[in-house]
Amino acid sequence: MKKTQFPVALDFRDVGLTIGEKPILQAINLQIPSGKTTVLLGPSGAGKSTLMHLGVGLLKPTCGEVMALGYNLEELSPRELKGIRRRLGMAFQDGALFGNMTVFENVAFPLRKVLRKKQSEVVEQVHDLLNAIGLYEMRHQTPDKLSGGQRKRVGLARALAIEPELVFFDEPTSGLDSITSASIDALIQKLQQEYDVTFIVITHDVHSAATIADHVAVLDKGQLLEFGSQAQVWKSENPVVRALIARQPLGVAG
Amino acid sequence: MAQRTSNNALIFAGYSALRLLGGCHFGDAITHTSRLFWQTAPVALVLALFSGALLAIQTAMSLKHLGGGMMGASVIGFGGVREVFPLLAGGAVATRSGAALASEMAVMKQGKQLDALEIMGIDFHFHLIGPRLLAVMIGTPLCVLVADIAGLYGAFLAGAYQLGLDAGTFWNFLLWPIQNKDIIAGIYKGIVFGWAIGCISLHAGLQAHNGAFAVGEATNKAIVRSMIAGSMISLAFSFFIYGGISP
Repeated sequence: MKKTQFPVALDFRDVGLTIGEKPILQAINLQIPSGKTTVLLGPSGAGKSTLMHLGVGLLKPTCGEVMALGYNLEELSPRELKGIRRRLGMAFQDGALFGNMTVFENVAFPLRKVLRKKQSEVVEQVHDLLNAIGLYEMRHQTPDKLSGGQRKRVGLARALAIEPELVFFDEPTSGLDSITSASIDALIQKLQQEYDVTFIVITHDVHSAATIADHVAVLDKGQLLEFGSQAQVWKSENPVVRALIARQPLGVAG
Repeated sequence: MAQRTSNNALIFAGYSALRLLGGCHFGDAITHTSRLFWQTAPVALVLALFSGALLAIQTAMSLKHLGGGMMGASVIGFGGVREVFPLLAGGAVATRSGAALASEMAVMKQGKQLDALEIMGIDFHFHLIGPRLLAVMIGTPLCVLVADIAGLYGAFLAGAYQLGLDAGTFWNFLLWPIQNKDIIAGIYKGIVFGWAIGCISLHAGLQAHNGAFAVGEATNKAIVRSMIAGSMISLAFSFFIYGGISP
């Protein structure tokens, strides 16, 4: 895996997004450091996934700039944007696996189509990744035979297959039982240490954030409420942040 | 969600056709063509076989009162191969494969698989749209040929065995009006039908919103719009190839 050469892997500079008349994100200033795990934490509808979509250029901001791996995404041509995206990986909420392919083929897909590796290299690398996520035995199964947690793991392996510098995880533990969630958290920690790349994890699961985060950004109603190391954010005086961390209904925490 | 396709189906159709000229993943196109043909050809065959038989019974019986029962066979030869059987084949492709394409795209969009492709930097048109569009454009004319043969045979069976007309004479009357250009026009018509059905269905799927209802709606749109487009294309072909009036 390649380590990002920039100290800031993803830089949101005064970013705002309005869809129709509705402001989705407002004045987001956020510098996500390289080589660490940063968690975007917030309740549903806070704008976390939208921020991630801006980070990979799937959406364009209404105002402000998004710098990914040192490049302003808005200034890139489609070809250049494609080149940048090949340095990014994304593990989707439900895996976003291709239903007509086996687990092996899903993980091999970017190796064949994006990196155009030889078959022997593809086999070796897919086997390594499947071993890393503990699903080697399931390599001949199609996604419909997998549990939710297994699909997320395969999606994670596919995201890592292209050896990205920056990996996004969209709600990796949502919809999972506590034991499976813990195993996904442990896997994320293990992979981050093993591959030494930048991980950005979107979640509303405070327990998961506490387990995996080096840095935490808290969003609510399209605004960035707090950003810093996990220790700093956990000491925040912001009542919304405190309510979120205490897992209390908003407005109840003192 | 990324704006990867135009909201306008005509712009999408034009752009997809241009991209197809630049090539697509031909291995996938062959797989999709094979699947489309084996799924749709039986439907086209059954539709055309029964329609041919029905046309034979109705035309032969009505023309019999005018003193020329065998002329019904020639009417089917004229109208069947030129208009009815290709349109039936197009309908079979729209309902069987167009609907499948629309629902496949809608489910892929909802499952974020299209986003996954885009983030991997994989050319969405080259790998996904192109092979499917090419498959419909190859598969539909093949289904038109199947429908032509099945329709004529259905008419022959009804004429010879149901109506009790002389089999050899009925067969000759059925075939004599058919010219090579009618068969070739049917193939061209199939290609244009295929392009229209493919573009309409893929676009309907790509425009789908979230939820099971949206998949059904996309499928529904794909079928209805494809059938309307098929009728319009058929009419346009009649004007351009036969000058608006069959000789």
